[in-house]
Amino acid sequence: MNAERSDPAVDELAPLLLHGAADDTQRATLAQLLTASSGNRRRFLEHTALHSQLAQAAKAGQFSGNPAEFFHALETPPVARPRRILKFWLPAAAAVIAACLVAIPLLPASASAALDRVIVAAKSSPDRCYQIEVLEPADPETTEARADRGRFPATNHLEGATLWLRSPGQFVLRQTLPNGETRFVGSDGNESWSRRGQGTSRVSDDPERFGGGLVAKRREIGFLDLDRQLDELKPLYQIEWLDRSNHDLWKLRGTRRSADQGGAREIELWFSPNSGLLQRMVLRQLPRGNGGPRSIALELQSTAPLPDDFFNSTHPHTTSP
Amino acid sequence: MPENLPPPDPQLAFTRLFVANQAALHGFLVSLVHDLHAADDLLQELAGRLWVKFDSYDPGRPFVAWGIGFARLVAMEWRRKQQRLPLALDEATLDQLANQAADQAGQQDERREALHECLKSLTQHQRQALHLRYQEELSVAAIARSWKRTEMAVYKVLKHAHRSLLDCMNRALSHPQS
Repeated sequence: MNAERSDPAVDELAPLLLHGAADDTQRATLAQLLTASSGNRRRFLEHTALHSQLAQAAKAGQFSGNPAEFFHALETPPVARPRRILKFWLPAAAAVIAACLVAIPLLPASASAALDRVIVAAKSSPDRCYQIEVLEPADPETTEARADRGRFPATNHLEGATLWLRSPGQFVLRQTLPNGETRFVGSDGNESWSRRGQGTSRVSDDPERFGGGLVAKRREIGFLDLDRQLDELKPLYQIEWLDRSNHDLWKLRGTRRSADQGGAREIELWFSPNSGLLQRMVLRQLPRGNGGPRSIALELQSTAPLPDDFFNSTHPHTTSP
Repeated sequence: MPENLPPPDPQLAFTRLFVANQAALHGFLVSLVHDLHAADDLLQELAGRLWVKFDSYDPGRPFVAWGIGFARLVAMEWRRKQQRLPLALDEATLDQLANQAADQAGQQDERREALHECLKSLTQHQRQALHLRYQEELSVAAIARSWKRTEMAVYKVLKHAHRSLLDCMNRALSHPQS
């Protein structure tokens, strides 16, 4: 039986689509071609099958970074092993694969899918508490006190600080100042506030007033509105795998796409692969203009629910919740 | 001919069948979602669903046909959730595409063998492009930067590699003796 011939345009447009280079007009033309004839659909399916075969072969794991070895492996048909060896090998391999499939059937394969899981997990546990670690201090010229940020700018005393977060945009930061006092800075999403020890709170109806350089500007990734900013990671950062060798902790790395946008140059997300829960977030090369350290890490301490009024200026914050 | 009867251990049986057919299932998913990363994720979701339903699998029936029924559901669910699809298709065309993809899934092994042979006919440049795209997972734009060429130039190399491979594979499949 002769197969219906395909339109040569399918050979032009299908690879464009599969390699992410087709524009809207080309997509619409391809859709029309697929509606028009079974021959076009058959040829398109040959392209998608080839795309899948090449990707699967590349992911099989036995290829090195050497193109010659990659093609040698691709071009070498599977060798028929003696049945005796297969008899012992297959059950053992199958058992291992079965354990992986059954125990963790839904682990994300792509970095993008993993980020989606982290975002979903962040939204499903609204209250989180992180401890801040300064990995790289501020440049000396930016640590000088600035008149508009007071004597002790919030960004300058982050080592060991505790940060409680609730979306959208609610936070409490507890930090120890050089004079030994404890300072709380926070926002309930509507107003921001600052208080030393158990003193009187200064309150502003500008929700960013006391956040200082901690609050991300437009098209920046900071860390005080983590959920919204995780959503913005995809368009603003190139996401890739950093490490998946540890079964309990996987790592993604986001690299800022454009020098024009603000925010950290590089972001690392360390998360539990099964739950997607973000365990550690590293922000490297933060903007100098905000003052504060160049690189910090936020380590998850707790996801326990916080009192409803915890982010209000009126909450005493006398002890950890 | 029915596939090998599964051994008594259902987990082992499932794993054997899934591993043996996952390339065909992945290919089927790619044919409907047109995105490799999405297909990778959906394949894992599919594995979980098939395992849950494995009690209802009839070993006298080809596993790939059974799996494709679920893969179709998974792919359609994914398409419904997307705000912007790689390729928007009307329902009738999508059904026709899925039916033809299901029919072609059985040829997976023959096509893979043909691919082994046909890769030898590629030029060095085409080989390098495929290596960077599939093994290194570089985007067309990243390859273009690395080669100091335009994206369209890289795309043309990939397109010619695809066409050359498909034409060679189809010749090999229509004349298996030669």
